[in-house]
Amino acid sequence: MSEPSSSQELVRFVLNGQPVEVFVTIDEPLSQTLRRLGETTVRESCAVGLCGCCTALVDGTSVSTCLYWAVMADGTQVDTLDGLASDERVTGLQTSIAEHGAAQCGYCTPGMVMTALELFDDGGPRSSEEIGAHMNGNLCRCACYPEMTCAIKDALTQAHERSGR
Amino acid sequence: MRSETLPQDWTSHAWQRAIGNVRYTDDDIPQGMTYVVLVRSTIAHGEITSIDRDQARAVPGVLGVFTFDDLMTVTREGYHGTGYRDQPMIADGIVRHYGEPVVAVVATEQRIAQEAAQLVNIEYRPLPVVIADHAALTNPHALHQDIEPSADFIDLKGITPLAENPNVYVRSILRTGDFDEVAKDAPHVFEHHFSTASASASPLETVSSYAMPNRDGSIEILSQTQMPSYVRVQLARMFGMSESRIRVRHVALGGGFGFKIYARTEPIVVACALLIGRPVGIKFSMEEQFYLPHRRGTTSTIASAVDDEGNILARRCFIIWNGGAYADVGPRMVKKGGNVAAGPYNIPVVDIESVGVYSNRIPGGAIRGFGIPQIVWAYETHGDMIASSLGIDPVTFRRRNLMKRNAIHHTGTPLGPCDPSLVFERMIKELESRPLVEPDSPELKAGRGVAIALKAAMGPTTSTVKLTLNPDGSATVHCGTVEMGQGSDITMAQIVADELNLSLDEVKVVSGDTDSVPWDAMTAGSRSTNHMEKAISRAADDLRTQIRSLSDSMDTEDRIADDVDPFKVKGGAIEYLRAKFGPMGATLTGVGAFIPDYIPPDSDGRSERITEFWMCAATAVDVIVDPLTGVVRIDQLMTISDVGKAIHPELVRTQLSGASIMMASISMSEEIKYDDDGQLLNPGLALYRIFGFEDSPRAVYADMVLDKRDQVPRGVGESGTFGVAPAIASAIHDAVGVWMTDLPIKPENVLRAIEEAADERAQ
Repeated sequence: MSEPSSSQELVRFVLNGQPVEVFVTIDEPLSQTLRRLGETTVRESCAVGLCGCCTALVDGTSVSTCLYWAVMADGTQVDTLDGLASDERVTGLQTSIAEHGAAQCGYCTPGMVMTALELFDDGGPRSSEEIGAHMNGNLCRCACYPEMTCAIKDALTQAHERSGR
Repeated sequence: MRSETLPQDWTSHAWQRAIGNVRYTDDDIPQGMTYVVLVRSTIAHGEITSIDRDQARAVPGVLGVFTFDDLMTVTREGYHGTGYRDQPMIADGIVRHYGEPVVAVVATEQRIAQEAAQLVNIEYRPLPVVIADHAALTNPHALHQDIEPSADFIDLKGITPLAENPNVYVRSILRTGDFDEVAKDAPHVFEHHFSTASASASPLETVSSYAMPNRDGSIEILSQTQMPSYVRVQLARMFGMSESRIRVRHVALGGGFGFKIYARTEPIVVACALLIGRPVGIKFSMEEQFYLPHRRGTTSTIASAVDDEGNILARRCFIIWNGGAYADVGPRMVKKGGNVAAGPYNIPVVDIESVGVYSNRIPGGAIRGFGIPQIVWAYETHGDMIASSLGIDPVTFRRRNLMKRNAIHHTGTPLGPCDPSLVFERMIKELESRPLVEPDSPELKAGRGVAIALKAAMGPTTSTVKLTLNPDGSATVHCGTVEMGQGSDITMAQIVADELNLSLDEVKVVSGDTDSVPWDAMTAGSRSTNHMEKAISRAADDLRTQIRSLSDSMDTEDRIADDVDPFKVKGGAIEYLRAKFGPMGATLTGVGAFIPDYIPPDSDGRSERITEFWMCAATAVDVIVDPLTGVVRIDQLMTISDVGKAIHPELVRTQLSGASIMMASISMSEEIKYDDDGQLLNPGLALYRIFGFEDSPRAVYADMVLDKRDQVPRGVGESGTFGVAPAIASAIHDAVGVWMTDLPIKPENVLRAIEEAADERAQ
């Protein structure tokens, strides 16, 4: 961490379960802060909140971190894909993505997983249309949309079956 | 970062990406990096009259504010380009497109460089701006003087601008007879005009490159490039260094699509790094990435003479490729596009002229398909319009004219095992089980369209591999194919595993470092699996020869018979290594190189050997059109591609599917816009809209035609793109009876066409 300048503020939050303290400039997007902290699954692309590559969870809600000021993260709990490595919903979805071949270059994939997670909250299966509507803020230039839709759909169904047992 | 158990099959490709286990270029930026930010031209054409950089230089943290002349103090040759050396690293006294880099500002942090870049004041004397295709062709002012062909590639040797119009940097002719002679006696002659807009490939991982000078005078470059070997060659030439002193590294790319080719940002970071003696990197924002080369816009005129049954007797094509300010890949695209501009049809007489022209647009580059989608857009829509005029359905019209296996293409090169007729029939069969959707509401109209296309593989380019047999019998292959999402790493591993009779987990693929990986021309043009498989096979043969010679010194009964594959004997090749070198064995390395045979075309553009292989794909599209709004929704998108042999069929299907959806996006949503002064109006994904989940077709089907006789992979990266646009247009015509002739197909244009047709009927 470099020495703080007058225009910097100290921000404290819990990142993937570990408390962190970091100096940020007032206009620094959270995406840049997370990358500085080594979170490589947070990826900056469009920088205007349209592609979803920088998606992370702030207090459990998925946000485009390129549009989320780092100072706003003070006192929150921030989770990236790496922090959810043992989450059963995440591993189930990752397995489904592998089986459907739903990642080509893979640059957008962690953001896709983070956004899709919210679909698991209700616990029920979803239609392709519902999945498409929820995921529409995540772009994939390789256009794995059909494969990703199937992957999410299967993972939701399997999670539902697991919870039913 | 986790190290989960790796599934040892094709699913490991997506698995590694889903768990975030793939590192991209910007994830491992070397220590001590400084950043260059480019000050870009605010006009599309003009002479630079002054550059004031005092204020920028005074900003704390700024390490240098460099013009072209400054960069030249450490550079031997400041121009680059694959066809012509027409492009300076940054502007050399003149700017030829809006957004052209003029000044390079280097600072300790990117944001400091960005702030300082705002303080550079550049004055210009404006020159006339030419943006539109026809205006570029008739522009009386030469945009370049005395350009030099680069002669990097065999198929681009001897190119020269037209003497009478130096803005035409290449003209390609393919002529098998006299069109007018046939047309004057033909029952029907049709002529139509088509256009396509420029588009941006927009990979989500935006472009970056980093240069690290070493104390010994060598330099290392970490770059997002589809062409590490070529980048090294170009840097060696430009900076007067031995290739052995230049190390180009890369990791997996977050999308390539033909966008990350040739030397573009690398010369700038190398020059800046040499000037300041520190590591220098460049990282473009998505918006800035829109100033890198675009898919070329085209204007085509295509005419056909046909008989009453719909047999095409002769076809004439004229294509203008708007190449922008620098030729870039234009010369090759103009030739390759021109070669196949008459389509995969048996036509006795073709007369094709394809011209590449300079303009003040952002330079034309390549996106997935390398110009072929623009060509197919014209000839397939033209064909549908002819069929409709003659009252013949589009399927029958194609059946009457389609080439079959072993046909001789217009170029004079045989199609060999590629069979357009077979591919088309396979798709028609698939369509039988997928009926056209019934729209939810009676106001909505559904329609179906089909298209088929042919592309010659990349011109002759070389792939080399180094195949190492490790002491335990496992294998390591050094292979320059760049993994950018297509699954090449797992594909190359499977090829080696099959060749050496190993399991996938016994094979390691090493790429990404020109210090150890041998030459490979590029990962582009759907060439890699075909060329690399041949190179790997030759390297494996080299290993077989070496193992045989080991066995020659053994007792007679242990020698390997001539008809026995050393990798298939009991105990494996390792037994011979151990017999010769002791229980821990030794390393054997085989090498293999492949370059296709090639015969340059004659003065009519004909050659018996213009390509190593042909690629053919058919596309079908179902649309639902709302005639009240002109909104078109793709309901079903089908691609059937002739792939020869599929190493991992699942990866082939996702390549075809992704390519087809990407091209649906380009065909319906994407358009680079300029104002009259040549200013780019829509950089960035807020203004330039690409398809998302909800734009994607309801049903996407992709499958392949395999060839059991000719077990050779033919390339799949591009073929899904070829016929998408004309199939959409054909489906729209089927639904609402209007023809779309300009890309992209926008709702307002569909609506206007519907209204005009209604007006005509009313009159």
